[in-house]
Amino acid sequence: MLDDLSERAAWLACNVLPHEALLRARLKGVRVFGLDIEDVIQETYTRILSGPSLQSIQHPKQYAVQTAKGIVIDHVRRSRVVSIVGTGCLDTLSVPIREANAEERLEFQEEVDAVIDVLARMPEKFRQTLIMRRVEGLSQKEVARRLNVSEKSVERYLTESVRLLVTLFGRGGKNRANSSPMAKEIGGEDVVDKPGS
Amino acid sequence: MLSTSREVDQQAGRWAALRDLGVLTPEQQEEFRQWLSADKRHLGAYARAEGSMVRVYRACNSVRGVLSELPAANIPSWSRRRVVMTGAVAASIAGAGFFGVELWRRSREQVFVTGIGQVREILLTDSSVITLNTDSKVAVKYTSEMRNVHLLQGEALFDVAKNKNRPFVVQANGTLLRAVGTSFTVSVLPQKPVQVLVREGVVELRRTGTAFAPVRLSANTIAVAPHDAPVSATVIPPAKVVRDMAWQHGQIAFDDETLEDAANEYARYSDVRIVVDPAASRRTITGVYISNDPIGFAKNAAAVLGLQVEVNGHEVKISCRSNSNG
Repeated sequence: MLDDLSERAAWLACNVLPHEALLRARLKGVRVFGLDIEDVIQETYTRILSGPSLQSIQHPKQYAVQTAKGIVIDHVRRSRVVSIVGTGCLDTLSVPIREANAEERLEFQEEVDAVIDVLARMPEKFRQTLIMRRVEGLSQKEVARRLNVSEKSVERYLTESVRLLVTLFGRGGKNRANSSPMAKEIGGEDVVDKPGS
Repeated sequence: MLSTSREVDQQAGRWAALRDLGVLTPEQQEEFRQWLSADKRHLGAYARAEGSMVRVYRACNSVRGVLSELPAANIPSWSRRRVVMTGAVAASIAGAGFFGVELWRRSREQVFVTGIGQVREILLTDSSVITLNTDSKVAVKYTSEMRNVHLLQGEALFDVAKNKNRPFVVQANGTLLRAVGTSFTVSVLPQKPVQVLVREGVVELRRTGTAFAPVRLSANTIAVAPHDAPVSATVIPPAKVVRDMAWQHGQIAFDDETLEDAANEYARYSDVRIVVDPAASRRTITGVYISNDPIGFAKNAAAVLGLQVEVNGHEVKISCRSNSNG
C-alpha cells in the first residue's frame, strides 16, 4: 500500500478532489443519526483508493458519489436505531448519468482558478512554506533559512498549510458569498478585501 | 475514543508534511503504516492531504498565461540557479515567483515589464493585482511595513488589497500615490505629466520636492500632476472610467478624439505607425477598437469618415480621397 500511495493520492487529486464541494453538497441532504458527513467523505476516499484498479474508474465524480452513498447505507444497516430525517433523502445522492457526463471534465482552467483562490486566502507564511517546498522543491533547511525560522517550524507550517488546503478546497473556492466570513477568519489581514464589495 | 474527522485531518496533514519533507525515521514509518490501517477514514484523509499539495503543484506548473508568463529575467538570482534544469521546473519557479514576490528576500526589488502590445496581470503575495499595459515597467518592493511599487514607464492598473497597517505606495516620476484598499491606474508617458485615474476607493497624491499640498482623489476622478503646477483633478462619469480602462481587455476606446490623438495612442501598442494627413488629422472618431490592430482601426476610421487608407509595410497612411468633392 505504501509503495504507490503517492501515486494514488495524485490520482485522487486529479480526478476526485476537485469535486469535493459537490460531494459534500450532495451529502448535506442526508441526516442520519450519529453520522458525520466529514467522516463519510474521508471514508469515501479510503474506499476508492482501496479498490483494485483506479484506472478502471471511468467517471470518478459519479463513482465518488456512489461510494459515499454506499457508506451511508452501510451505516444505516449497521445501526440499530435508525433515524433518517426527511423521507427518500438518499435519493439526493444520485447524480443523473447525463448530467454527470456533462460536468465530468472539470475544466483545468477552473482548477487553476480554484488553486489561486485558495492560495490567496492562506496566511502568508503558510503559503510561502507550501510554495517553496512543493512548487520550488527547496529543502526543509533552505525553507527555514529563507523564512528565518527553525526547521521544526517549517514542519509545523507545512502541516498547517496542508490542513488549510484541505479545508479551503473542500469548501469550494467558487462561492465567495458563502465562504467570505470564513476566509476572513482564516486569512487574517492578508485576505483580499476590496472596498465597496 | 474515536477521533473526530477534524482530528483525523490534523493527523493526516502532519503525516503528509513529514512524508513530504522526508524526515520520517524508520520507527515513524512503521507508526504511519499502523496509523493508516487503524481507522477506515485514515487512508482517505491522508490521500486527500497529499493530494491537495499535488493540486497546488499541478496548477502552479500549468502553462496558463499569468502563471508561466514570467520571463527568466524576472526570476530572482537565487532562483535562477535552478532554472538550468527543465522547462517544467523553470515554469514551476515562475509560478512560485508569481505568488511569492515577497519570498524573494524581504527587501529585494522585483521588476516586471511588458513589450509593445502586451498586457500582463501580476498577482502579488498580499493578493493585490497589478495589470501592466503595453510597453510598461514596474518595480515591486514589499517590506513588512510598506508595499512599495515604482512605475518606471507606461501605464498600470493597481487593484490593491486592503491592509491599513501596510500602505500601498506607488511612485511615478516624482509623484507619490498612497492607497489603502482601492483600484486606480497611473500612467507615465513620454512628454506627458503623470496621470492618475481612480476607479474605487481613495488615493492620496503628493508630489515630492514641491510645496503643493497633498490631494485626495476619490472614485471616478482623473488627475494630472505636472511638474511645475498644482495637481488638477476632474470628476468624470463612471462610463468614461470604464472606457479609459478598456486596455485591460486589449481594447482602446475613443470618445470624439482626433485622428491625430488616436494615431498617437495606437503608437503605444504597435510598431505599425498610423500616419494621418494633416488635412484629415482634426477629424474625430468614437468607438472601441482592438488595441493591437492599428490597420483594422485605420480602415474602419477611414470608412466611417470617408477617407482613404494606404498600407505600406509598417506604415498606414490615412488621407483625404484624391477626388473628394466634399
